[in-house]
Amino acid sequence: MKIAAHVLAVLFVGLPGCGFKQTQSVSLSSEKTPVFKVPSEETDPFRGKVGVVKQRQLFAGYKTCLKLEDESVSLRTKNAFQALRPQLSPEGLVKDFNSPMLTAAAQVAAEFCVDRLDFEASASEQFFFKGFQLVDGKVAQDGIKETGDALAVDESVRALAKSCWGQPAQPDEILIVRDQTLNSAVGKLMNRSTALYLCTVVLSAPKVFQY
Amino acid sequence: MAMATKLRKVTIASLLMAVSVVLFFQNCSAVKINAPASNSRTPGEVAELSLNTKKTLQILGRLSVKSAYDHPLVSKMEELVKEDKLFDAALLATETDAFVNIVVRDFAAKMSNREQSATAPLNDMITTIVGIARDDLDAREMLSGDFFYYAPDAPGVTKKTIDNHVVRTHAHYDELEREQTNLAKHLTQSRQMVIGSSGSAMELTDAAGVLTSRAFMMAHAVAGTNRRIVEYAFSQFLCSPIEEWADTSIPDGYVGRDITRMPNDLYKSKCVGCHAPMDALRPAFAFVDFAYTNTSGFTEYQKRYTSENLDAKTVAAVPADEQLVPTKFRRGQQVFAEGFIVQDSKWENFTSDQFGWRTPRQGEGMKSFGRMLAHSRAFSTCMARRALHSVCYFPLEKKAPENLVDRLADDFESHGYKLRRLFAQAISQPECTEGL
Repeated sequence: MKIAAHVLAVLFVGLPGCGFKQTQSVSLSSEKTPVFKVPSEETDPFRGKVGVVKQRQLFAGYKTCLKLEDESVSLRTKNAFQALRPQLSPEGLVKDFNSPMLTAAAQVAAEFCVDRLDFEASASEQFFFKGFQLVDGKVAQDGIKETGDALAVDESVRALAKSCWGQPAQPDEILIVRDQTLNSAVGKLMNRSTALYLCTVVLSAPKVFQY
Repeated sequence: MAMATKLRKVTIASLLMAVSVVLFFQNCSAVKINAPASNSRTPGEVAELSLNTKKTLQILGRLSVKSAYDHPLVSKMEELVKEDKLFDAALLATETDAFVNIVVRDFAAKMSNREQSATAPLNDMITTIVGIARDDLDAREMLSGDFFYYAPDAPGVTKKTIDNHVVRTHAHYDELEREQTNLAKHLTQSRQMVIGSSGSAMELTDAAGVLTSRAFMMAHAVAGTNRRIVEYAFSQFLCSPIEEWADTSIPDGYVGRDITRMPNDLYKSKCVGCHAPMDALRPAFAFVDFAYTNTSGFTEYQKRYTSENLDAKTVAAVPADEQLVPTKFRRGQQVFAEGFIVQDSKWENFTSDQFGWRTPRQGEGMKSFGRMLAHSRAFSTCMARRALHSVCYFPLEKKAPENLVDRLADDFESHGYKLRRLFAQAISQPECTEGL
């Protein structure tokens, strides 16, 4: 239920404005990057020109980008992936990139984020969530501070994006995630819920699904 | 109460759907920015990626998994991309676990089911092709090897005995699927097993790679007449549906008793086109059947069929020289009694030279049949087309440019039929990467 709430929040926050634009350009990227060529007789105008991550690539991609070893991926995450797999792209085609896929991917992302938070909560040093109180039951003492904590959120977004988007986060992208996180119901404290929220937002961004 | 819960779930689902649809295509710039983000960057972080980095990441994304731009492998590959050595860069990507776990697995999954779906559950056919790629074996072993791959030592796997969990059921592969097992790390090769005449598991003496895998047999040898095995072997491994090799000029001496010859005009103008070549090859599988029950299913090999084995509807005695041939071959005595009777596993290939056959056109058993397919030119071009489909998205149903396929097939054959190399070559061809 907790994860479902995060997923719902993410769909409100993470997606506005960050979707692929359907233009005549062959690239799904917001940048004008030339991409793969496709035979001209194709009926799907995007087929071959862009790649959407396939089901198993999503699983492997989240695991890799969150720097989780095989044994750190929980059975809960594996089961969630298995259950949601039919909604994810089987062949990496653009036509598979739709709302059910995004919802499913956001749920899988949230599960992986929980695994990463569990890992960091017991690790001697935090990597993605420096400055967050990640142990359940321990309450973060103060509310979000305007400067220091905001910078910590920025750093988390930057680190997650660097690892999972395959490209650096741009300042406006960091701002979107930061502002929405800090202004959300869960984002009042530098705690586990806030970390889960921003992690799920970053891992549900369309940049994660394209290559 | 239950109704209310259900309604709530439906409402949330509808809300999620509506929100994602509405918000997805909005423009980023519509979001109000109140204050600048911090500009501090971690060491090695860049504001914008170079074209070579982007190209490298795209190659890696297609052959493996999306990676961070500062991953050590990206740096190595990028050096090669800068020197325009795309093939060498791609070859590095094929050394990752994700290449075999995802790309080769999907490539194999499509060949393992009639729908050509990449979402097929893991099975022994998929793991065997994945194993061949991982170990860089000659891909022709795919159709003539006497081994299969499984992962008895993978973490979390409890069902690992070959007899009960691999030969008789699918339980082992279900566990590997559930555990999302890293196949690249945990696969082990073992000899193919089937259920013999004694009713217990035995090594298959006439193994033909994945053609005799449990998955392929379950898909194509269950019920039917074993013709489907031939049809799908051509379709999956030579990329040639039966319509492309049907030929009414082929002699019909092998066409079975269960095929009606009436009306004769229709038989000669249509039926014989498929049945003449297919029925002449079908005896290769004369000694196998796939027995299926509610709880298990397994390949039976050289089971001795006597009248006692047959169901009550079959009253005829089984001739001594047909006792190793499953009942399914014995159908149709009342349809056309003079039709061909399969008594042994000797087969003959009447199909045209379009496949580029390089081995004898006659043989005995499954292995020689598989070997004939694997050594043909059509096998090489089919693997090239499938690789292009996997990483360049050329549709399978429409042929990729012939010269491109031929180039890849030539390279595949002249370098020992290695799947890793084939995929690396495919993605580094100009037709695939032009514009990068």
